[in-house]
Amino acid sequence: MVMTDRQTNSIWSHLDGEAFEGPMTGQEMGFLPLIHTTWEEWLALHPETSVLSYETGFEAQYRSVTIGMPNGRFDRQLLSVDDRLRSEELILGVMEGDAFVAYPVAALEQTSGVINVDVDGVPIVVFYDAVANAGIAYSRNLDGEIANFERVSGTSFLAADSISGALWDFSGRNVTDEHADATLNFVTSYLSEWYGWSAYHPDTTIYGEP
Amino acid sequence: MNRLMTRYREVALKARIAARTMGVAAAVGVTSLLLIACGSQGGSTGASPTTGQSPSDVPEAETSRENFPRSRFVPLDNPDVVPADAVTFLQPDDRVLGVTVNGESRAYPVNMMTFHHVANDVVGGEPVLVTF
Repeated sequence: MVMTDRQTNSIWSHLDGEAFEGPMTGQEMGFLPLIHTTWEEWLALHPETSVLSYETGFEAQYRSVTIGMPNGRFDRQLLSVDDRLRSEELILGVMEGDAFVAYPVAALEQTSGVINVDVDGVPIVVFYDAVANAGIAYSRNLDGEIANFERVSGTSFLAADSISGALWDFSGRNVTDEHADATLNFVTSYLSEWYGWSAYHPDTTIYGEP
Repeated sequence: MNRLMTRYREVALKARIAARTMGVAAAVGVTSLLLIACGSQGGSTGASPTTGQSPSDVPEAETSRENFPRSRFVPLDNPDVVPADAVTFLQPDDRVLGVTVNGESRAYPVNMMTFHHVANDVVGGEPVLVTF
């Protein structure tokens, strides 16, 4: 899938947010954090949330889709296949500097839910929320100090930082009263199926593999 | 720059070929369109200037580009929203994409986004593009 804008008809990558054809070529959009989770968990995180109305005229077209399931349809559509992972395998793609790292969701499931790591020399933390079955990355730089994070036991995802011991939720908010409203700095990251991520970033590394 | 363009053209070709049949990369990102607004056209990617535009009015000009598929998705433009306590169409385990900008939160049900793929919206006063 690619996107066009109606003002210039330029063509944009929906994975990278960069225009690669047309007058806007070379322009990049910035990424914002997107929390991929269940309605129940999102509502618990943000009780004041609004939701898209279903009444768009296309209600009959909305069907549940299970992402990450094998179907074998896409490999033969690709110009080349990166067989390091199954094409439809769900990964968390992380971009930092010139580095691209894929964290297979299946591998994240085997961790505590928190991975402290350096990517391209930048200290980041990857959160994996078992309820959401999804991940997201943030910076470990807290006002100039580098923290390590640790998963706190409990069903809802919470992680404590090593500097103040404050607790942070999956959406990167500090939920310890004295620091309320502080948020971790987002590191560009999103869920993808492997074939899309690897087609755009053939030089990606895979977490847990040499 | 030519090398960069060539690379992107190549990878985009791969991706669009796949996505044409699949329709869905689980890839999700919310992208601010502020940078686009700095462009010579002064516009954003349909985030706000297209209020009231019905799906059938979406311009078709770009579909004539030879290098890109003619199949199109129907984007959501400035979609109507409802408060959480008025939601009756989501079950607890249904998946959503959630975004918070300037303290305002909004949920995009995945089963809507797998049909539309693109939502041009304004959240917390910022024009944002949500894509799946």
